[in-house]
Amino acid sequence: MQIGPQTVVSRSLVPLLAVCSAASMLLTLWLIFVYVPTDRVQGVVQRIFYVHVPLAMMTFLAFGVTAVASAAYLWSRNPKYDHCAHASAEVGLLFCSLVLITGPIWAKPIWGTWWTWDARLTTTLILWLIYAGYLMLRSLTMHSEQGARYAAVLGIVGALDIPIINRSVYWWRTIHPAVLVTREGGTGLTDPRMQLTLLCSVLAFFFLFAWLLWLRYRQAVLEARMTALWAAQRIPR
Amino acid sequence: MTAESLTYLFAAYTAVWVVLVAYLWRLSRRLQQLHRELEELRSEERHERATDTAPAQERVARGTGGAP
Repeated sequence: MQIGPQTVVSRSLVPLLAVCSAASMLLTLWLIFVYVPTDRVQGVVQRIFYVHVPLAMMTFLAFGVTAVASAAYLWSRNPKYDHCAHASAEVGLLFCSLVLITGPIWAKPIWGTWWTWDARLTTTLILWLIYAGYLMLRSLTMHSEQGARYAAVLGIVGALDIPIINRSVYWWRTIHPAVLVTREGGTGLTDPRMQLTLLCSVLAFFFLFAWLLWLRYRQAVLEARMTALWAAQRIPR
Repeated sequence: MTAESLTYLFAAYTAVWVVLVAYLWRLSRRLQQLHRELEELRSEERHERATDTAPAQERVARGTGGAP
């Protein structure tokens, strides 16, 4: 079997992303638990921000990738874009679930409640429901072109919720803190050590996202190839 | 720093790592399974090729093969 340049890149990319992800995660954990000072108002619970915020950013990136790849699929009908959209939606839903888990764990000691129907929380829950629906649609219409087309439309429409989530703290009266900016009455990270920790954490979660996306994409490609091979051999699976 | 605050911090980080490790484990298992299936298909294909070509080779060896 000949090994093309694409295969070489693919084979070296996975361990490279795994190493980058593990190394940056270890550094981030050291920064979070040893280096960064404790917040004077919120105490140690504020350290949850250093995973919650990067996870939210990677959720937006993942669903953004899904939307772009879905548009590319509708334009070109090239199945590799469909596999990419599917893979990114799954990783995005995983990250979004973690955002919805870590958020209430932070909220309970700070707000005194696990959940409130705040604009940002509600729009994030809607985003989770849209992409959970996307994955359900994919599993119900397995390997059908029509299913891929419907999912691509849902993948694009679902991403319209991302700017709404982003602007929700400005458009509506909300109790959700704006971590990245210091707005009036907000809780922006002003200490440079806190900013550095958050930046490293974002980078670590970016590598993790890229690694998971690549692994899930390869799985989707292999599954499609296997289905085609089984169908060609007419062997019942 | 209260013990309750530490419990929340521990719960959040544990949840993140447990979910991420479980997902990675599931991904790697599925990939391994797919590679196994691919190997199975390849060996079946090799076996089919071998059985298809064997009678033709036999006929050639006996001198009875070829066009009528």
